[in-house]
Amino acid sequence: MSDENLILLSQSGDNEAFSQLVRKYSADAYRTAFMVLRDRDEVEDVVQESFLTCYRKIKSFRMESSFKTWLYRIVVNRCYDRLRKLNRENEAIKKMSLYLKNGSEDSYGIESRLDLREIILGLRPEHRLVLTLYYGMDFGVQKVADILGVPVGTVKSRLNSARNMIRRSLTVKPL
Amino acid sequence: MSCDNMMQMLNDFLSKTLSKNKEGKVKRHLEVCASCRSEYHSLENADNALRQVICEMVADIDVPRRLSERIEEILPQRKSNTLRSRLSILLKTPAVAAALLFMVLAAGFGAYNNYFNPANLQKVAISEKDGGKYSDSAAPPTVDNTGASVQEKEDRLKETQVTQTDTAGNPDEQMRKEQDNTVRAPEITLMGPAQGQPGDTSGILRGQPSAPAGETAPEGLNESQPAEEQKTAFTTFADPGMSGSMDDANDGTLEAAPRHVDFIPAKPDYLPPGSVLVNITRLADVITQDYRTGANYFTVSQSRPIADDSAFVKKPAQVANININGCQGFIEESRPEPGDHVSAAITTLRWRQGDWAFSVSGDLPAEEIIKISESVK
Repeated sequence: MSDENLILLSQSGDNEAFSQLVRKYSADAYRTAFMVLRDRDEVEDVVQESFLTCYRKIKSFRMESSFKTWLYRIVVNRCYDRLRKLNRENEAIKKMSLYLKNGSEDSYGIESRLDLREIILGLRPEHRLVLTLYYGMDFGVQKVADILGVPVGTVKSRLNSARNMIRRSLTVKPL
Repeated sequence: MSCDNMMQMLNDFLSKTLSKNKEGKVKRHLEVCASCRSEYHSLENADNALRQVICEMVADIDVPRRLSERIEEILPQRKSNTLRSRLSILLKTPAVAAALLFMVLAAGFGAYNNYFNPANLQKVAISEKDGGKYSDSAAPPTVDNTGASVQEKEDRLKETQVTQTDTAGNPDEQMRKEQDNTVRAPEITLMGPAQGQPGDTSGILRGQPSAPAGETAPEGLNESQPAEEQKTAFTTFADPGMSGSMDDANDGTLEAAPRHVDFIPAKPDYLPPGSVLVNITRLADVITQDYRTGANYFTVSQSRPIADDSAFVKKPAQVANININGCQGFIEESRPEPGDHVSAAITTLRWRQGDWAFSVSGDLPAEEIIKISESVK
């Protein structure tokens, strides 16, 4: 059954229909949140809270976007709330973020010892989120912008910086 | 087009955010400008590497096994009105509406054929003789519509005349036939303009062909979803116990996977007794098959390997080398930690076989994980 029909059923009180939406999207929502928060307990809380919000507001959902976009937007906002609250980024990651933000040329030490995964994990969460939604979840640029609530130009700019960063990394350490 | 603003254009080209017109300009420029072409290939390589690494990172995230159930448990229970709501939604679905319309037409056609079957023509003859009481609702537009040949038509007419003569003088028989036709009449009137009361069957049937307004909402929503988003919906639950939807069952098969990736995923020849494939998930170019074996589980993932071996497999200290079908692999056992939501150790075996990167992971004994891995070909 399509998402639209599942939503219509959920809106009319069909709990099984909402459960189908949960089963369909919870794993990817969890993976997306984990790419940002990197903490299993926090991520599970975020995903549970997000579905609970969807459940409570499903009757007012007007299908102006897809359910998936709506859900991811809620998940992303919950992640941001968590980040602000927990302020979990350690100093090393902050240094990495600063480096990536400023595009420092003093990159030999960093690039020679980090593989691509570590570079990505060192990105600021909001940058990592763009990459996760675009590359990992197959959302287009416009959809990513809708989910994050930022202009399309911001998404494009973050994608561009990530490509350029990886390109520099590949130059030093070819894949 | 000059090379000056190509850098931004190349990025937009990769992100598929250029208009067709600009996309064409970029392509033409790349054909003639070696410098920009080199720049583009460099960016494209970075783009591919990013996609591969991100997809692997996402696919490597272990989702807690009972995540969905735990979410469902915290949802407050609402008064359910399942049957009625499902029926009303189904009736708004174009495909279901079309199927119902077809069934009504088929039933009408069957009744029509049955009614003008030589064996039943006798009844028609009687009612016509009785003043044509049912002729308005039951008369066929043309006999040809029934598929009967001209000869059959003539035969039927002859038979009608004969039976009309045979029964004309028998009032009891005539009354019985009339009663038969009275019972049959409602079947046939379903084909005509419906006049049923709200809630009755004919009213529901009538509503389908003439209710495009009710159907446009879900259609419009489908169109508003981008193609890439619909691709991701390949994530399915093939276990009928978890989801009985036909859409899910049809799409969540290994055979359906090539519609989303350019290969048919390999499946293990060996499965521990009692194993059931419950879920097939696609994340970009990674296909993951989830199996249940009683209370245990394991997953089989397959993707194109990325070029860098060091990124393909990280080698922490607890990882051991292993040979799988002549290919170098790595096996890792991770013990549960507080907050992991798992109670058993997870064994993960990764290896590269030909052009593919495989991984088998689960809470089965390591021997079983190895045996499953060796049977993936």
